[in-house]
Amino acid sequence: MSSITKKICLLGDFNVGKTSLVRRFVEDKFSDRYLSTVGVKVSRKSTDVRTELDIQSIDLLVWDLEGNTKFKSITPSYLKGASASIIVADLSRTDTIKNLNQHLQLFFQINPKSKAAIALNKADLIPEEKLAKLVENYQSQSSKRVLGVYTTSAKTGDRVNEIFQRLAEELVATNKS
Amino acid sequence: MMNFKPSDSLKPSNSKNLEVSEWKQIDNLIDSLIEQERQNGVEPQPPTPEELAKAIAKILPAAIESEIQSNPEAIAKAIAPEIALSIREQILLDETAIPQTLGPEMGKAIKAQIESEKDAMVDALYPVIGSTISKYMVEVVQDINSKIESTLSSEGIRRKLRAKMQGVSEAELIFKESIGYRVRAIFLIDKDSGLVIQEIQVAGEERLDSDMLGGMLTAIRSFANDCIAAGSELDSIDYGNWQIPLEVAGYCYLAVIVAGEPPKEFISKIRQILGEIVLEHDEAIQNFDGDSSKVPFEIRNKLERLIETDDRQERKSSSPLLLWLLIFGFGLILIPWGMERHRLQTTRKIEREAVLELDAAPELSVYRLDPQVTADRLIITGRVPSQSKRDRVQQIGRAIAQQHNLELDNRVLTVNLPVDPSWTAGEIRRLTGLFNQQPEVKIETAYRQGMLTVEGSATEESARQITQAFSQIPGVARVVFKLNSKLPQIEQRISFDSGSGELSPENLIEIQTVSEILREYPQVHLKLMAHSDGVGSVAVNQRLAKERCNNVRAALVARGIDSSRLMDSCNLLSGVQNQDKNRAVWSERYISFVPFVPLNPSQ
Repeated sequence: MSSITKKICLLGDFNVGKTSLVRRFVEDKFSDRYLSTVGVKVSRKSTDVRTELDIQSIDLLVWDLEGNTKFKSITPSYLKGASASIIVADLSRTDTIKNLNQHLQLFFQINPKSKAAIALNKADLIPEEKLAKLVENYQSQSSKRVLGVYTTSAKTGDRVNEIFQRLAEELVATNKS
Repeated sequence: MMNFKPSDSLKPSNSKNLEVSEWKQIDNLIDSLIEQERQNGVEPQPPTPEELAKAIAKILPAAIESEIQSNPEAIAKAIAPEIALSIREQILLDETAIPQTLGPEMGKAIKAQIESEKDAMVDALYPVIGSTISKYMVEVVQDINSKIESTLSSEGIRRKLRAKMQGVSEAELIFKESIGYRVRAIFLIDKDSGLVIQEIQVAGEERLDSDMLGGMLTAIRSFANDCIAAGSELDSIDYGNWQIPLEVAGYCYLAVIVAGEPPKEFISKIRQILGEIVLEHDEAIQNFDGDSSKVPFEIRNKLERLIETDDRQERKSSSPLLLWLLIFGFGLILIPWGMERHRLQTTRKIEREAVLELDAAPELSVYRLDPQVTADRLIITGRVPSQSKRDRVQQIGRAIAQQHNLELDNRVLTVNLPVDPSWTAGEIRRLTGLFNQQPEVKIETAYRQGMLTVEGSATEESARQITQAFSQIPGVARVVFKLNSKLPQIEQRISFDSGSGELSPENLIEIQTVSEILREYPQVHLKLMAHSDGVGSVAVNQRLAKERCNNVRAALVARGIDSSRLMDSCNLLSGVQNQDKNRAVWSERYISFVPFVPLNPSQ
C-alpha cells in the first residue's frame, strides 16, 4: 500500500479559527487563547480512506496560513501546489462570510484543478435555527468545485474531522482517476 | 457517430448577409459534386452526412482562400474568438504539436518584440536573468578564487587567505576542515506544494519528518522570495552546525541536510545531479501529485550518489595526494638547498686553505689577499706593491687550484699603494729594533718625507740584511745608509808628566781628535783606561789615575760629548803588570780609550 501526500491550505480572514481547526484535527485539542499565526504553520496528519478495493492511507500536509487583514493579503506562493483548501469564515462575523468568495477565487486561480470545502466556524456561538438558515443561504451560491459547506466548531470539535475526511476522500478519488 | 446538420454547420455567423441566389448556387454546387461521385461508379443513394462532408471538404480550402481574398476581415473576425480555444484543444490532443510549430518562430518573435518594446522585454526577463547572472558570477568568482589559492599551492597559505577574506579566525577554519562534513538526508521537493518527491535519509541517524521539513522549507523559500528578495533564490539555510544547501530547478528543488561545512565540490555535485534528474525526469516531477509510487526509481539512485560522496571517501583520496604534493614541494626546496650548502662548504674549505697558504708566505702575509671559489675557478683578488709578489701569489694559487681541479684566476693588482706614513714609521721602528737585537749591530734610523737615513754600525752580514730590509718597506722612497762594518780604532793616548794630572796642549789636540771620532760614531761609547808607570805608592798612582781620567773626561764633555758615552775604568791600574821595561817612563803614564757599543737600554 503506497501512501500519497497532499497539500491542503487553510484560508480565511484573521481570527476565524483556522489554527484552531487544524489543532483540533491534528491534535484534538482546543485553546481559547488567540495566537496570531505569523506566516505559515505546516502540520501533518495521516488519515485512512476506505475505497471500493481497500483502505488507502493519505498524508494531509496542512498549511495553516496567516489570516489576511485589510493591511496584509495572503502570500499567493504559499497556496501553490495545494490539492485542496478549507476556506474558513467566522459565523459570528458576517464580513468574514462575505470574503469567502474572494478567498475561493484566489485559491482556484492559483490551483485550477483543486477542490475546496467551506468551514463556517464558531458554530457553537450561533443558535441552531439561525445556523441552518445561514448555511442554506450560502450553499445556493457555491460552485461545483466546492465540496460542501460545513458549520464547524473547533471548540467542540463538531464536524471538524468530517470536513477533513471529506477532503481526504475526494483527494484519494481524484488520485485514483 | 457524428450528428451532422447542414443548416447548423454550413451557416456561418454572418449568414444573414448571404443572398438567396447565393444559397442556390451552393446548393447546385453540392448537387453537382454528388453527381460526380455517382458517375465514378458509386451506387445511387441519398447522400449520407459523411459523403456530404467529404464532398464539401474538397472545396473548403478553396472556398476559405477565396473568402480570405475577397473579405479577409470577415474571416479574421469569424476565427479570432476561437483561436485560443483551438490551440488549447490542440495541446490536449497532442502536447508536442504546438511547441513544434511555434518553437522555430519563438526566436524571431522575441527578437521582434525586443526591437519594438525593449523595456518591456527587459522587465519581463529581468527576474530570471538577473538571478541567473548573479548566481553564475558568484560561481565564477569562487572558481577564480580557488584557482588563485591553488596556485599558491600550500594548504596553509590558502587557509590564511580564506581566514582573511571571510573575516573568521584561522582556528575556526581548521576546525571546520578537521570535522569535515556529513550528509544526513537528501530531499527532492516539489517547488510549489512542498511535497517531498523523493527522500534519502542516512541510516543510523534519527529520522527526520520529511513532509514537515519539505513543507517548512518550501514555506521559508516562498517567504524569502516574496518578502525579501523577489526573483532571487534562497541558496542555503544554516542552522547551528547544520547547513541545508538548496539547489533549485524548474519544478523542484533539492535540499541536502549536511552537518559541518560542505566543500564547494560537493555543492557542484548537488547541482550536477539535480541537473541530471531534471533533464531525465522533468515530466514525472512536473506531474507529481503526492503519489510516491509514481516517482521513477532512478531519481533515488541518482540521489544516492550524493551520499556516497561523503567526506571519508574524499579525505582518503585527497590526503595522501596532498601529502605527496607537500613532500614533493619540500623536496623541490630542500634538495637544491642541500646541494648548495654542500657546494658552499667545499668552496669555503678551499678558500680557507688558500688564505692560510698565502698567509704562510712571509712576503705576502701583510697584504690582504682574498681568494674566492666559484663554480670552476679560484679567483684571488687583492693588491700587492710589486710584480714579484704577484708572481708569488700566482705560484701559491696555482698549486691550490690544481689540487682541487680548479682554474686559477689571478686578479691581484700590482700597485703603488699609498702607504700610511705612520705605518711606514712603525715598520721602520720595528725593523730597527729587530736589527739592534743582533750582536754587534747598533743602528739608528730617521724617517722624513719618504727619505730614510740609517746610521750606525753593523757587521758586514748584518749590514747587507739591513740594506735589503729597509729598502723594501713600502712608503720609503729613498734610503741613505751610513753604516760602518767595524768599531773605530782609537789609537790616541793622553800622556801625562810624572806625578801630574794636568792636560798639556798636546793632550788637548789628542782629545779634540777623539771627540771628533766620537761625533762621527754617535753610537760608540768610550771606556777610559788609566795606565801608570808604577813609580810611587799605589795610593798615589790611584789618585793620579783618577785625576787624569776626570780631566780627560771633562775635556771631552767640554767638547760637546755626552758624559753618558764616557765610562771611566780608571780604578783599574792597567799595564802595571806587563810593562815594557824598555819604554820611556813617560809613555807609561797615560789614559787610553776603548770604544764599545752599549746594549740597547730598552733591553
